[in-house]
Amino acid sequence: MVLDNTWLIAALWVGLALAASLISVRLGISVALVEIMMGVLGGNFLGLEEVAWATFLAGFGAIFLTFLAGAEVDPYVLKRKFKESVGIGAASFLMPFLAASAYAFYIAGWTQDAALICGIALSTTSVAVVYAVMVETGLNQTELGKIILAACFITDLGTVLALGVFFANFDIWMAVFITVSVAVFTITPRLTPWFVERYGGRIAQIEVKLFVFLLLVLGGLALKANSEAVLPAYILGLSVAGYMMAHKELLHRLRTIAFAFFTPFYFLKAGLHVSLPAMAGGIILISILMAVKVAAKFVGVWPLAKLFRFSNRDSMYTTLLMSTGLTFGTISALFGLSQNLITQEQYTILVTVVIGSAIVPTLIAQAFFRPIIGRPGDSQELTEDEERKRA
Amino acid sequence: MFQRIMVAYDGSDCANRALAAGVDLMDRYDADLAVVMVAGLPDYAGTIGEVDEIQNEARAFFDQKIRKVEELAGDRMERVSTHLLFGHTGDKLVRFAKERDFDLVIVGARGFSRLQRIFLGSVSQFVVKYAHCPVLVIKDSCEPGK
Repeated sequence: MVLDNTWLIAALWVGLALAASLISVRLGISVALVEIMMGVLGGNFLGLEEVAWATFLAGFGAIFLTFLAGAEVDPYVLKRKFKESVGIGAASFLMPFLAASAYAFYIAGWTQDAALICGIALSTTSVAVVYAVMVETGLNQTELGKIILAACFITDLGTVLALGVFFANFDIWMAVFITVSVAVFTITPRLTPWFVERYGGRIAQIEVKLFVFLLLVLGGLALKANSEAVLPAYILGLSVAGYMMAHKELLHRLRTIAFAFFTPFYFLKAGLHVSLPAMAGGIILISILMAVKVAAKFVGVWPLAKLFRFSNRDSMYTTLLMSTGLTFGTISALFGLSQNLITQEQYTILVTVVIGSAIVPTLIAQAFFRPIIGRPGDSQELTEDEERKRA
Repeated sequence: MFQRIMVAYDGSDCANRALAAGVDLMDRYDADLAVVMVAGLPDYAGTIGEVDEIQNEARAFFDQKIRKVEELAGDRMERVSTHLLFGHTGDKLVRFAKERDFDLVIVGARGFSRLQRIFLGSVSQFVVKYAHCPVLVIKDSCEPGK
């Protein structure tokens, strides 16, 4: 074997991450998606293998990603549109979770644990896919856009809660995990401003180390309770979201560190375990599960969107966007694989459905149900420069 | 003939030539000029951060490039508006031109190879094909006024 030392193995991992970034920039496709594809390529054709240090980096990448997802929530929108967001977000999680779990368990014949992982992985909504579409269409400035985004965060919360709770042991470690987590979630929002003021802005990145330390402690305790480290990571992120909104520079530094060194390992690993023969063999199940996911999102989200007086077009658009999935879907599937709750074939099927659900509903929504934005005079119609001038 | 002119601008040499042509036509026809920049967002983004950071970079780039526009327009800047849009370049340019009812769109053409066109697409070709109004394409080798 040529790759018989750590440096060469690392060079292959980092080389694939580098290639993914370059391709992403050239083609305008998300780097996460390209990294998953490169992982598939590496695992199936280049002899890319999982090694202990890469597993650690990938695992921490998933935790870091989830923390950032929580920290990127706009808490004010969530509070202001609580009823609509929680209603749509909860239905968007619950209906696909129930439908996909039931299909996997009763019809596809998966084990109970595998069916639960299937339900969780397919219940997700990709906030990032939705957000990018919102920015592009200008909908992120509108009430509809803000409600959809807030609802996506609630769906994500449902996903991490399910991952953290369904497979956990309810023993003394769970008690310790809950106690420490509650203390950290309570103290951190108060501690952070003081800590950053006192020690922030130095080359040693002390405030970044604080967050990494907290994520590792909570992740470790979650593991002791057989829970999932992404649960406390997301809630820790949520707890400091208000602070991060006002301190974008800190969020930028955290993102830089995460995207440069941790998340590429996570996405490459997510692709590494995808088996192309299993994908070809499972194409029918992949299509059915995709249809189940989208249909269940329709059952859950569409009636609520109508109830909240969205127009037909806006309801369809909202539902299709809420049917997308990517990061949290792959995190859920990878959790199942690493805990031996699902097989590699099942993992391949789930990840393919998740990636498909990032692409297909977005394309349909953009092509046929793009909301009609008002004429000049509406703030949503203004370009950024006009908004700045108006301000 | 042309009262509302739109220039697609990305700060490249080719776009600078398109901008110069736009300023020239603005003077000739006593028209209003809109300089439009489009920042591409990643398709199927994995994280909000990915989208946010691209927006921030685009805003910084846009602010820097506005100076070039001001330099060229000089004291006619009050007839020039600048716009930053996000999304797929060709699609956003065509939509914006139609929404704002421009009567001429000016774009630069970088002269991509056949392979580049296949993978990256040609914005100028897209705009020529789908714009609702006349499109002036300034080719890579062209110098306006010559």
